[in-house]
Amino acid sequence: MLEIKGITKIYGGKVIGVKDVSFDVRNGEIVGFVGLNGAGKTTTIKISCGVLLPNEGTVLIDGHDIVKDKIEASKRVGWLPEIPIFEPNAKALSLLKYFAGFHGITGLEAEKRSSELLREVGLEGMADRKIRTFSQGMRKRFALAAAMLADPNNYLFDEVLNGLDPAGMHFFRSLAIDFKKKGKSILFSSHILSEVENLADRIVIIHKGKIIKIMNASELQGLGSKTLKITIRNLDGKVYDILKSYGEVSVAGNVVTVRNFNGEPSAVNSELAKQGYLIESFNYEKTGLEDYFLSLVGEKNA
Amino acid sequence: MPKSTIFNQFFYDFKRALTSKSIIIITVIIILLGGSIISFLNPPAIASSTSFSYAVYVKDSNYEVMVFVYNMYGDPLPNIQVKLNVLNLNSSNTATPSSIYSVTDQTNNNGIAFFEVPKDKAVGFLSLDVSSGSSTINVISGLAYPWSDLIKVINYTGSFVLNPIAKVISASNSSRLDVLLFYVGKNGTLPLNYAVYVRQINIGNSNTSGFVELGTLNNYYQIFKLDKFRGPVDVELRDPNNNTVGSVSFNTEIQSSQPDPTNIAYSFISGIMVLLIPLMVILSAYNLYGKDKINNVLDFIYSLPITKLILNLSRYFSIVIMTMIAILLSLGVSDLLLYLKLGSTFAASLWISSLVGFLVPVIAILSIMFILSNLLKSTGSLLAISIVIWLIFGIFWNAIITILSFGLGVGIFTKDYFNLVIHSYFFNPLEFFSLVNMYTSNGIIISQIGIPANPADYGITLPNLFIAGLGWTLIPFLLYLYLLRKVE
Repeated sequence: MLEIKGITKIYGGKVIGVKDVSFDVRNGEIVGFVGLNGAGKTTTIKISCGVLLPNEGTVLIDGHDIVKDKIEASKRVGWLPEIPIFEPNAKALSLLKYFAGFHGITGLEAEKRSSELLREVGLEGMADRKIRTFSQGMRKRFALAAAMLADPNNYLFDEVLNGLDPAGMHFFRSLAIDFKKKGKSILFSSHILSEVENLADRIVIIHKGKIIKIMNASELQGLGSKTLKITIRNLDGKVYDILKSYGEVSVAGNVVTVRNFNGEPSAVNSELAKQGYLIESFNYEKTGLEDYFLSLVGEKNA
Repeated sequence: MPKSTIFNQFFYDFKRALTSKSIIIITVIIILLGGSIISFLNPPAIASSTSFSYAVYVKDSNYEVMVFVYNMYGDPLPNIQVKLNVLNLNSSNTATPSSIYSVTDQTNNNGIAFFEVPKDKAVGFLSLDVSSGSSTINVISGLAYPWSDLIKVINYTGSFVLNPIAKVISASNSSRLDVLLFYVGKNGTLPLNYAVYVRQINIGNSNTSGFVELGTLNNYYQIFKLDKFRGPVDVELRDPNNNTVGSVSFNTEIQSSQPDPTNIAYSFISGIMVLLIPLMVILSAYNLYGKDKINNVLDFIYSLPITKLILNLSRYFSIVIMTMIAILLSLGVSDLLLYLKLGSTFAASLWISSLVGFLVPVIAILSIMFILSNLLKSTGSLLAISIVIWLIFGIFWNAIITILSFGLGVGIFTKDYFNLVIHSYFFNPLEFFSLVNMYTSNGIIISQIGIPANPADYGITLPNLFIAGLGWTLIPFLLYLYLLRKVE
């Protein structure tokens, strides 16, 4: 469990990184951490893994203070930075073995564990390659392997989906869900809000260094609206009857719009086809967290 | 903090430092340059000399002659051919005297050859020819001594010993002399309880100190070091009844018109090191810390179970230790080459002053590099500023002080000028070695540039060196530790 309690970070005595940030991430929970660029997500995460020191406040990792009890706290948390930077000329396996040494894993055990993890994160056969030859995605996978060395109970994913291909995004998404099933706590920062919305049990929204909203699962469920927009060549009055049970129906020309849509878009599509309607276009729009987030930070109309 | 974590970090950092190209390349350059100058040096003229001492005593109703042959350092020389002749110098042709008795032997591993002379042959003169070298025979002595005189001494003291106290070059400092004692007791017995005494002669000072015992003989030959004495000394060998059986006066410092090749080698090699060691520190600090710090490579390691302090100190001290190893290696290889070429080595005092003299600038420059790494945001500016610092403090310092002296109206190469230059060294960590060198060489360097040779006149005293050394190591290091906590 990760407990962030009133942390404040001021850079150079002037610039506020974060101010009085408090929230927690429980075991078996994924907490989405969203905010604009420079809102304080990375600062919060860096403080939480001991890379930065807070000016005020504490972060407890399974009850261990990341400042006062750094070693014990660090053993229990794995950090995946947005842009993982490693010694460019180090070879993957030897660097991983060096990292393993900090967890008391040495010698043959370190070799075995490091090789296993490289295989697990999809870097099999890369053991002797230098880090500088790795792509961004491979570096993230390597960082994941390093974070998993001690099989910690808590993970900090900082914009981990950024710059990844669909396969990479799927890999990290699945991994987060897998960690959750194993009862681990995951703080998942991302600006791809739809990803966070689909993945997270709770959402923490940070803006200008302050937490402005923490939303739980039920609030997320009721968030935003869904709209179905269908263009039908042989449109007639019966369409209204078919669609009215799915939401608020309005017709303009040969375009039917169903607002606050509740149902399965594929079911609607099948039914209209069965009735002999010729569908020229079928759009399903879901306006949720993103709209809510923008309205919350007062930038929706900016 | 578990010890395994600290060891893991230090082992990794030390391994990186060990394979650091900048350290390896600069060490190789120092060794190659040092080796080149050593290859041009020749041993001092005295180095070619071979000497011997001998003793005559009664053994089994005959006479026995024990000859001890040694080199300029007092080391015994084995396999040297020694020819004993009993000559009749009263014959009509004294130019080629007739031989009454002749015998040849070779020195054993202890440099000793034995000859038995029957009593009836102990007439005329004793002569010994010692030949060193196999292809070119070099007869070094044909000294003849009348047997009648020898027998008188043997009857009185039990043995006759020629050259009981000999001056030899100190093996640890070829510009200094030690003493080699050779003595044989009655009937060829070991000279046990014979003691060696020495006293310092203070020229122009009536307060000449008394004799102090250096030690007692426990073998036929033995070297006694005089490294605690400077200048002229009296050395005496006394028998168990405290009677003096041999004495000699000499200057422990070799007065040579030619500079000692060991000193030439050391001056050259240390001069290269003064220039290149700071560069080695700058480049290794940049590669092993600065670049990683500025490029945020260290961030991920900070997230692991280690504290920032331990991680930073591990990098810091692995560079310090590796640089000092490189210094030891450079001096060690140079010393070995020097030994192979000239048969002499750097004095222990030079080794100590080198290590102390270089440790201070290594720590000072390293701390400054670590401070800059925490303040600057680009690797380019870190490298550029570091090189500028090296150029100012390492290359152009004397030029800057000379320009400053012009500005102050101080004439160049005057006493005031040297005063300014030498005092400025206290404000330049890279010149700390020069200060230590001036202090340990007792001002030789200052005297070489033609001004009074007392380092204390220029503020080079042990307390001042201590304060400067402590200041240059502690202040930048503490500032770095402060910044480590403060700057983020």
